[in-house]
Amino acid sequence: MNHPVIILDSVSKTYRPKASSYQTLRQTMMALFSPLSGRKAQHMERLAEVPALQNVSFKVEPGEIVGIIGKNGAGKSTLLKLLSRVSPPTEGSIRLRGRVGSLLEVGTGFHPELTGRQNIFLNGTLLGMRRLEIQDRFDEIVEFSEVKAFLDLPVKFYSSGMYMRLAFAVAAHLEPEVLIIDEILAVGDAAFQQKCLKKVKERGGLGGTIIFVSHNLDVVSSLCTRAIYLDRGEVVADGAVGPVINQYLQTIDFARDLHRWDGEEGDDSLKLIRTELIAPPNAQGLDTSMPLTFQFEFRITRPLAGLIFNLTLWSSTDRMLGYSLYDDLQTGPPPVHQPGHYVYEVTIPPNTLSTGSFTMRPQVAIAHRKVITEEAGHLRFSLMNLNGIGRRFPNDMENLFRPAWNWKCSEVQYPSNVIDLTTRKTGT
Amino acid sequence: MNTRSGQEILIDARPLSPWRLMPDLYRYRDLLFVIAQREIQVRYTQTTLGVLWALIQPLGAMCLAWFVFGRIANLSTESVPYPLFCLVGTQVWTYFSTGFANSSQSILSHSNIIGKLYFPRIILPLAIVVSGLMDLAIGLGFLAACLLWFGYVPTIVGAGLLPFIVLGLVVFTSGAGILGAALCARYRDLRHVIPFTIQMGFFVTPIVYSTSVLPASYAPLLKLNPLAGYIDTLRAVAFRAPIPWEAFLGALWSSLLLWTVAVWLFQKIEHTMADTI
Repeated sequence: MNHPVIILDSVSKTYRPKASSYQTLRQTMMALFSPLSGRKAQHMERLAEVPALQNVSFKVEPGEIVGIIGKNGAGKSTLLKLLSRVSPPTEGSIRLRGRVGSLLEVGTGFHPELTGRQNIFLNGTLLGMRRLEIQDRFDEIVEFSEVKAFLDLPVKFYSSGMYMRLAFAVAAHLEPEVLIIDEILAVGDAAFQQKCLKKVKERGGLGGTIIFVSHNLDVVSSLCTRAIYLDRGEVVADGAVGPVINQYLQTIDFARDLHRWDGEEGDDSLKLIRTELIAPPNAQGLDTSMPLTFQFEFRITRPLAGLIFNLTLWSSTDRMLGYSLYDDLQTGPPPVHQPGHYVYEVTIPPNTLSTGSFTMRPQVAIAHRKVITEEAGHLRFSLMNLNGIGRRFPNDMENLFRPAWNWKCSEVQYPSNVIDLTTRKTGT
Repeated sequence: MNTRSGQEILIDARPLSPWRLMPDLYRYRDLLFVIAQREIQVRYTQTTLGVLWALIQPLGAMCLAWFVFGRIANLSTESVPYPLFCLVGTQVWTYFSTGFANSSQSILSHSNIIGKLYFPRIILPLAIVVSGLMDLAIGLGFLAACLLWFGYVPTIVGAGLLPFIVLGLVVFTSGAGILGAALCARYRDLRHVIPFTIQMGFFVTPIVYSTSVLPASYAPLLKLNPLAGYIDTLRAVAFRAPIPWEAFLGALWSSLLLWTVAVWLFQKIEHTMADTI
């Protein structure tokens, strides 16, 4: 009874580069009427072909939640396009059992001039629903989308958040046997994302099969029962989420991250020459469970009094999260720094920050006089949460901190007459 | 628990053959009407005159034809008032030309959806041709009112023929639209050819003139144009003339032929549309 819902049998996909992706009439005519130039054109085409997927085979059983991971251009989106029938494979075959719903882009097919109500029907039927089905679930969809008050307003007047909420609500109520999702969880506000994840999870529990691509490894590791790692169009690893993600992390270089900066920035009295984030040895990527040690090296060329060194921590959305000042509690007269090299070191203890990308910006100043350097030596880093606390309920993008606070729980014993007293009190 | 569970879909490099397309078309049948409905809603919401535009277009064409051809060129119309004579032709022509032009562009103008979602792409040109039916109904209603005003009451046979004329017109328009959509998706140059084709069509179709004013040697050429057959038949119905059966059946037959070729060609390139547009 438990047949796979998806079977990919040595599937390959080759694209022609964009420039020649559509033919001009002249080319076809030339190919028709002159065998020579036709052959030449064919030859050119073959040269320019780009393989996007090569010999991909796997099976998906009902109820599995499969995360597809890999770098940009690894073929993830191509795979989803094939699975959702948008584009055919060049070789091989795919067998799908049951209804397939795909969400390659939230809100595809919305028409700006139509009202929310009309768009629910348009989008729903585009996703393969019958009108009656939509009618049946209409109230549920509206409820989920939280845009009830604006239902009869053209969607061009919607905020992007409302637009996304409505679009996801329609898709979430499609209830197909297989749901294919591309990075949609990156939309909307945090509370709504939670709701979507919950909805997706609910469906997984019911035996629905979900395939999704995400750059957010946290979401993959918390949601999926299986991961497939694609690299250059080929399946590199396929299996339990943890090991597959680890294998992926070994090869990933966080392109936008900057863990070390060298230079010379400052004035004639002080130069910032190195900033560095030192990861624990043998670490594969930074995890929230690791201590994060930062070093800042200065060269001071003449005695300086009133030196102030501070750090600010910023979120990827450019929100300042924290401010820390060296020797903040100092009393008495400010120390005088003699010429020489100095290394400041600061450590953020493990289990402080949540997942995401952060920027650490150093600033050096002379108290009440001037800023020596603040634009240079910024360090950028990204944190996963594979081993840290918060693994049980990860993926709330809302919080920026996952601090290791001290929790305690103990049972309180009251003498029985005290309880009697309180109940009597509330009774009267 | 779910009636659709048994359905299996096979995806490979081959295009969808008609018997693989059919279940999909059936499953997505509601989409056709929802898109047609959207076309109508988008066309008329937020315009001041709203649905009146459905009348203004053929009426405007009629007035222009009346002035240019009726007054200046003084074409003969066999005892029928020239504006009324023209109105029949412009109704048919307006339906065909807007349907053909819009459905030819339908694939290109929906390229964002085509790249993201699967649905039988042929629904797009079909839905647009269907959406034009509302305008046509309004136009024909107006035509009927005018006819009655001038004392032309159609015969029973004529009235019974009307649905078949409309059906033939839909088949021909969707055939041309599907063919145009397929070719425009493949060869972008053709986008610029379509308006020109429509302009030419206006003159080779007996809209502002009667078939009878043409030299007899042109008659076989006119048979190649199904629109001529439909317009002549509709005129015969409107003005109680003998029905030109041969022309009508010929038009039906050639419309069906065009439609079959168009659908075949469309399906041949349908499955790679997402990659090429």
